[in-house]
Amino acid sequence: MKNSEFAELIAYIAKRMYMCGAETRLIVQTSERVAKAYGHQASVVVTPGFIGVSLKCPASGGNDSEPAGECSSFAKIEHGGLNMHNLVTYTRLCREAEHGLLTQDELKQKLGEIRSFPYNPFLMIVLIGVATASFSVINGGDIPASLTGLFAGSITMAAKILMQRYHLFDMFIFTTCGFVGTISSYWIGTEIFDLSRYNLAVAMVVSLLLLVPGFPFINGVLDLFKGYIAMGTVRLIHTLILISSVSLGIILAFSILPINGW
Amino acid sequence: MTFTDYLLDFVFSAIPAVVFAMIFSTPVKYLPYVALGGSVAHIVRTVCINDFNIGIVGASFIASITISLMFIYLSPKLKAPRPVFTVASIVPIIPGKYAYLTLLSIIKMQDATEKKSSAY
Repeated sequence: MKNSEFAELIAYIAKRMYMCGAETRLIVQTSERVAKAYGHQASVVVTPGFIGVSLKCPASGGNDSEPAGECSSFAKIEHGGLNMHNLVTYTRLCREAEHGLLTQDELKQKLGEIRSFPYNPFLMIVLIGVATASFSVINGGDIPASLTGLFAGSITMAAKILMQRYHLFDMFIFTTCGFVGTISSYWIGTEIFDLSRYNLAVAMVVSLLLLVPGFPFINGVLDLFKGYIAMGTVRLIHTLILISSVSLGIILAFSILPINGW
Repeated sequence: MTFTDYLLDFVFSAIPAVVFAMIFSTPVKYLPYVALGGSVAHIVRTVCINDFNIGIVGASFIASITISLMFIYLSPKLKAPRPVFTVASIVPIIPGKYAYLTLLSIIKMQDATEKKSSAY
């Protein structure tokens, strides 16, 4: 493989790891270690807009013989869905490359063969409902509150999956889910189960807890404390925007409902 | 809290952690470890709050440290990046109500300020 193609491959690995939800230090370290495994010295820079890779390449022989030199590559960051299965696969392939089990061409081929592994959406809707009910139990709610959380959580997740299928704007999805979750939990809690004030509050809160953006928030804090201030700040602002979107949906719901808050 | 309460807490706090991990397509073979992590996090926080009278902030801090140390040891053995386990494991201890309440309170405060100024 030519040095310029290898630089593009390193940039591709870093970009895909970013899209899967890896923290910046993991991206930088993994990319640089893969480059080192093939005899190159890489400097990887992750910015909010793109990833830059600068390679110091040794002289190579064979059909693709090249003198020693430097080359660089950039990869524009695209925002994709977080996917831990892909992240695990990328790190496993990088580890195999580091141990000398893959050539550069084999690594590129295997990276191109990786496919997403989403769980069945209907299974997720049911499990989200069960998780919401469990949240209600551990937050002190009774059985009717947990059942309210189960149904409201399922409805909220179904709305989220439906809107994500149409690739709608993230903030719009979270605002709508906040609205739908609050309205549905209030309606189910008062009309069907006739919950007390405390249990209604628990049910209304837990139906939205799975909208909390955990990965961007934690990755943002990790980046801040590990020296990647710019990336950490961007991730935390993104988290703040998502939480604000959910809060906006909740406020819109409270403006319609006959209650003022939890 | 009785032993039964702690046991129920242990079981019910595993479920949100596993489901949160499944939302982000975590492979099935890692889900038991995520469940264990979620349960340990919530139990540690509950014990700190109820038995040692530590506040929620301190208890959450101790629970997070426990989970981090646990998966710093386990994740190299499982050959998976640590955030795959730790992020989902601390979901049961996220007090999400306070995050939303903070923003709602800011907006209500702004609303109250505007009403006061319009009274003049």
